[in-house]
Amino acid sequence: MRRLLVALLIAGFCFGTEIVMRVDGLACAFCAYGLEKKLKKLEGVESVDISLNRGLVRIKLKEGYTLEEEKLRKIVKESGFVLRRIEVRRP
Amino acid sequence: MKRYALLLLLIPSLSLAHEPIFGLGPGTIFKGGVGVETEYERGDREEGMATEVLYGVTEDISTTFRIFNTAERTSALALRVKYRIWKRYMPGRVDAFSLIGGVLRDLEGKVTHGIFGAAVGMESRRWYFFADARTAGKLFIDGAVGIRPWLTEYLKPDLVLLSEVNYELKGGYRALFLSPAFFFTYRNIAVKGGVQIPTYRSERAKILKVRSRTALSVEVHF
Repeated sequence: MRRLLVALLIAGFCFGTEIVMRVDGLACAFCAYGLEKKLKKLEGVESVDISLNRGLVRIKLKEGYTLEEEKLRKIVKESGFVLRRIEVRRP
Repeated sequence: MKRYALLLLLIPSLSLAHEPIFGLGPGTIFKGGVGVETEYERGDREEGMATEVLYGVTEDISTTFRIFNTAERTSALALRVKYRIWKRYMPGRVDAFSLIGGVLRDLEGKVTHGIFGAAVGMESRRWYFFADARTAGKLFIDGAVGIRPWLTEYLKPDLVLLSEVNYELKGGYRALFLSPAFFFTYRNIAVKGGVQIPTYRSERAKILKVRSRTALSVEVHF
C-alpha cells in the first residue's frame, strides 16, 4: 500500500520534483559512479546529487516528467546497492 | 625458472578498483559497466605492462580479461569470472563474499593454470577489510586493512590507504610480504599502487631471488 502510494505520488503531476532516495552500501565515490551514470540516462532527469556520508541520492526532475519507484529500485540494485527509502519532495 | 617468475608477476593483481592491490576482494562492477585498466608491474625479475578489461554481466558477476606484455612480447593471458554469492548492505557499508574462477595462459611456457579462489570483504566509509585465498599455479593467501583518512564527498578526490599481508606457497617455495598500498579515485578514474616487501622467504624463495615488487595502475570505469 505504501509502495503504491509512493508510486502514485511519483507518477503524479510533477513540476521540478525532487526525489530523495536513501541508499545502503554507498561506501565510495568510485562505486557510486555507476549509479549516477544510470540515473542520468533516464529521461527527464535534470540532475543527480549523491551524498556518500549521508547515504542519500537526490534526483531533480525536469518539469512534466515522472519516475516509477520500481524502475528506480531496479537501477539502484543493478548499480550494486539497495534502495531503502524513497521520498518525493515538491517545490 | 623464468615461467615461475612470470607467474609471480601476474597473478597478484587481477583486482578491481577498491580492492587490495596484491590480494583480491569480493567487489564487482555495476551491471553493464566496463572498466579498463593499464598497469605497470615490476616483479622478481621482469617488468612489463598489463592491460585489463572488466565487464559487469550483472551487479554480482564480473568478468575480467587481462593481457600482460613485457618489453619483448605478450607473455600471458588471463580470463577470470567473479561471482558475488553473498552481500549485506548497511548505510555506507557493504559486506560481501565472492567466488573466483578462471584460467591463466602462460604463452612463454605454454602452460595453462586454473584460477580458483574465494574472497570476503567489508567496505565502509572509513574502514576496509579484505581476506582471500586462491590458487593459480600456487596458493595465495592475503589479508588487508584499509582506511579512508578523509571522508570526502562524492565529487571530491578520494584517498584510501591500505596495508596488506600476502603469503605465497608452492611446495618448498614460501614467501610472506608486507605491502603498503593506496587507491586514489576521482569520479570514474582510479590510480592505485603499492609495493610488496618480502619479510620472510624460504630457501627455495631465496634461490628464486624473490624481491620487492611494485604495481602502479590507472583504471577507468565507463
